[in-house]
Amino acid sequence: MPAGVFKETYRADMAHLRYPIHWAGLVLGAGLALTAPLYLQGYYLDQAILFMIFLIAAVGLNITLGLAGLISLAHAALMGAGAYTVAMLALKAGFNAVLAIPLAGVAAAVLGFILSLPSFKLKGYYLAMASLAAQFILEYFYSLLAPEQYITVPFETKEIAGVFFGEGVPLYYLALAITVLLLLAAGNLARSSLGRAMKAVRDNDVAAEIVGINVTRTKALAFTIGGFYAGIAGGLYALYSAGIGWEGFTLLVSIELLGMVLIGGPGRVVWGSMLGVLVLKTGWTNLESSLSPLLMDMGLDIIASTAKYIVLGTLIAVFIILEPEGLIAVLRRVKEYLRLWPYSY
Amino acid sequence: MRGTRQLFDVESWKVDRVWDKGELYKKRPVKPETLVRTEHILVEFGGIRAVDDVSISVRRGEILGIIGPNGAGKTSLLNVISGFYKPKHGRVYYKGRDITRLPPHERVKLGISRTFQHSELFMGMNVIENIMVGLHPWARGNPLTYALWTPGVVEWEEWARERAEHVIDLLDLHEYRYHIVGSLPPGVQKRVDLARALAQEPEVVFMDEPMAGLTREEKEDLVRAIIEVYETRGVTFVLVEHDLEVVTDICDRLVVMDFGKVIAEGPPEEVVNNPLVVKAYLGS
Repeated sequence: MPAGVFKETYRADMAHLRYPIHWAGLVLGAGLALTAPLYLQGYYLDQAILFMIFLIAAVGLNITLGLAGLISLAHAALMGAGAYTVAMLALKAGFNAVLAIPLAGVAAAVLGFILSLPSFKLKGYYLAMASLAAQFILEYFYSLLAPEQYITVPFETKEIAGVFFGEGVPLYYLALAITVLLLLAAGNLARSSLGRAMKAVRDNDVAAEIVGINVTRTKALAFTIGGFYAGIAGGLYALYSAGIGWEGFTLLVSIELLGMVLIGGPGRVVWGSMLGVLVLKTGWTNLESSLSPLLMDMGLDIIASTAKYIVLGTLIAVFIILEPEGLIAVLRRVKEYLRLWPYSY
Repeated sequence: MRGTRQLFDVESWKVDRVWDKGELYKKRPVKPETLVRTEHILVEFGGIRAVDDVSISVRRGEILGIIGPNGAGKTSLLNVISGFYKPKHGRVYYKGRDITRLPPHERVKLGISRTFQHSELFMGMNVIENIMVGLHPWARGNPLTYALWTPGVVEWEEWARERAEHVIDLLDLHEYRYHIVGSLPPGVQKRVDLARALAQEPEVVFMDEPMAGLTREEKEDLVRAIIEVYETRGVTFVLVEHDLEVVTDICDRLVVMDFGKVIAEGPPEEVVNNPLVVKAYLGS
């Protein structure tokens, strides 16, 4: 009897589902996701939808930042590009908002490509500064687009064949379908030759060039693909949200997304992002709603309103110092421990 | 154990696919051909001439050693040939074709590979991935087909993996396959570096100080690997090296550089007795 799972073909070694536990996870996860509207209603269903929206955006940033190592502080602005594309198309051209979502992805991808231009020459902090500038420029641009602050996507454009995709169960399933597709695509990208090329650029861009990788093209692709994901997330956000304003896509949101990637697991495109969003979006939102009344009662109003960012900043710092590979590495260690238990190796 | 296992299976290497360059490694008589030729290369760093009017040629089927004291311009010359530096003057030819303006990743496709002095590997990736990255220039696909994981992409991945496994076989890297490269000892890292270059099926491999920082045993291992690839594949090697013992042992020809100029050229035994070379190495 073999002492473990052995793969006999390279194809089996490359597969997403390699071990029995993966299949179990798939069945369980798919079952839970498909039946969620049965036991999640109202606020909680909204939370699930928001989770998926931010998951898509975080996966995009994980491709740019985690795989290719390009720091982008303008990811929220890219999300905004997607949201405004859908909103403007629906508002000005009467375009169907649901069908406009792919266009939102394309628009943000083009913007992502433009954002990649500084990365051809800049690295590290300087690239972060360049993307910071882009974030503020785009924020300002969005505030010009809608001086009255909020753009409301007309309700009738959120409809296809009588089904209203603006909220509730239809939106949940729409978001679920898009999320699954994009996550699968991201997983494939990460294990492909392009994914390896991106990691090579991240680890050592000089060697990557000499080894035969077109570094410029790889960086451009990383930003473009990341932008596409952000755009789709933004488009879904435009469907979900009653009104779009530039406050939804500020630098703080960018940093929040950065935190999700860094805390979840940079470079682990699917699972890392999922953990990050779970902790920082879903986990934190629920914790905050129960924590802030408590802080208010204690007379710590200032802390109550800024607690989120204090915790976010602290968490990012702690993870960068103590666990640069993110929560997923912690989970892997736990898994290894359980696998070997009761032996130590 | 080492001797009993067949290290290298020539037939299985030539994977029969359309995009395979398999031809390269067939045993064939070595044509007396110049592979790489540089003409009057000049590289300057702020007024200091790192490489000064250097013309060398690398012939097919030889192991050429480029030696010289520290700061002689050996690595700079190598960087010019692999395309990392643009020379101020002079041209680089590969099989008669002018490649002076070609970006590094294009040169790899032509058959020029190199390794680095400080094993410039991708430290966050495992050995397999590091080797497969070297095959990226031949990758078939675009972001869309990668994302969809089309049959073509899968087939290519299998082909690349197979080729990586052959090099792993050749350089005895089996046990490290899934190890993160950053955690491996320097001797093994050098072998991974060489493996990455060899997976590209190059015609000529430039090795920048391969022996630097290795123990005697690791050096012997690496030399054995080089000789084996040289003999079974007919790959041309250019070693930029400090270690005179290694160089005089395995090289067919030596080029000696000092202060950016070529001061001697010829068979090892002749070169090491050249008074100019002795002076450059030992001081006046």
